[in-house]
Amino acid sequence: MNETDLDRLIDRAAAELIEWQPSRALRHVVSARIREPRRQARPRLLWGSAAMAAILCATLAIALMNRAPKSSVAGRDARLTPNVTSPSAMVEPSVPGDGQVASAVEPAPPVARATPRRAPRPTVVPTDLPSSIESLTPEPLVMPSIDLPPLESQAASVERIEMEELTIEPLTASND
Amino acid sequence: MTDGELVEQVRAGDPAAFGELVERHQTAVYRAALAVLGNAADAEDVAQEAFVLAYRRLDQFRGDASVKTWMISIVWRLALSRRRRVVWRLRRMMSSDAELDSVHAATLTPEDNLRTAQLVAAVRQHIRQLPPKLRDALLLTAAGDLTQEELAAAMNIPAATFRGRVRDARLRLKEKLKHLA
Repeated sequence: MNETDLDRLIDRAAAELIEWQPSRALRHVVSARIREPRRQARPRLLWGSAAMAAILCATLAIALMNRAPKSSVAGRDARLTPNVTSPSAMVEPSVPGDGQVASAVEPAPPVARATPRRAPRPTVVPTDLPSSIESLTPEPLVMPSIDLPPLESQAASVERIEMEELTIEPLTASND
Repeated sequence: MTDGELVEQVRAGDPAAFGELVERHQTAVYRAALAVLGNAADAEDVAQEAFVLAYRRLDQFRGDASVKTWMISIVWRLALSRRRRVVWRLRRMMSSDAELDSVHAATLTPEDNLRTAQLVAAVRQHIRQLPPKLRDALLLTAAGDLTQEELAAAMNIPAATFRGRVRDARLRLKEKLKHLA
């Protein structure tokens, strides 16, 4: 097989790969799409708008939840304890009777208020609601006496130490 | 009526004139897509997209090249874009070339002897294995709808580059076919 035969073979194979005809409906399909040029653009636009609106709503909801709306908490507390006017009175209620505080959460320290988004918010239980916890009446403790043997102290016996008397000699003028 | 006159009619508000342009050039546009994608269904789909895009951008046609060259440049870019898609590549990898081979086997005439048919099938297989740039140039030239200069203009490459690709494709094929011969 020479070069010419190889060229013919290549031409024939390439032609078989490419010599296809489009379907007869191509012109009609194109004409139909041209008459309705933006039919598919509208649903895309709608879906895109819906997705954007959903994302916006979710973002707003998360932002509102993270804001820790003090006003709403205070408003809720105000509704629950209508007579309370000051925050200190709200968080330290006094229960008449046995003198025990039914339940009150310590107010958040000032440092915690400086970071309101992350600090846990105190939950205030209304004081005008009847407490379901019974008051405790502890019994007096009985301390049994413990009998211990008296401690014996022994006197230490120290032997007398005999020492020679010291003699003080006067210093001489010379150093011999 | 020339292509230019049809374009002017479409610009004047006659979309039916564009149907005539589609009728004239649909084979060339379809084969250009087929050369790139190697699949009849994908080629039809991309050709359809190309015609719709050409209609919408008809105001950008300046008349520097022929309408056919301009349309083939559009379908060329669309087909290349689809060929670069990962999903399309995966689908092509999973599908076989049995579709084209079965059609080609049916087109064999009784005069074709078995050896010739086997040789042509082997060449087709080697053409598919060529690098895409060489294969595209070879197949577009084989389609015969445009000259190599026009095809180079549609692909936005120098004519010498296009001719070199065709020559390189032939040389590679001949190297592989020597042992068959």
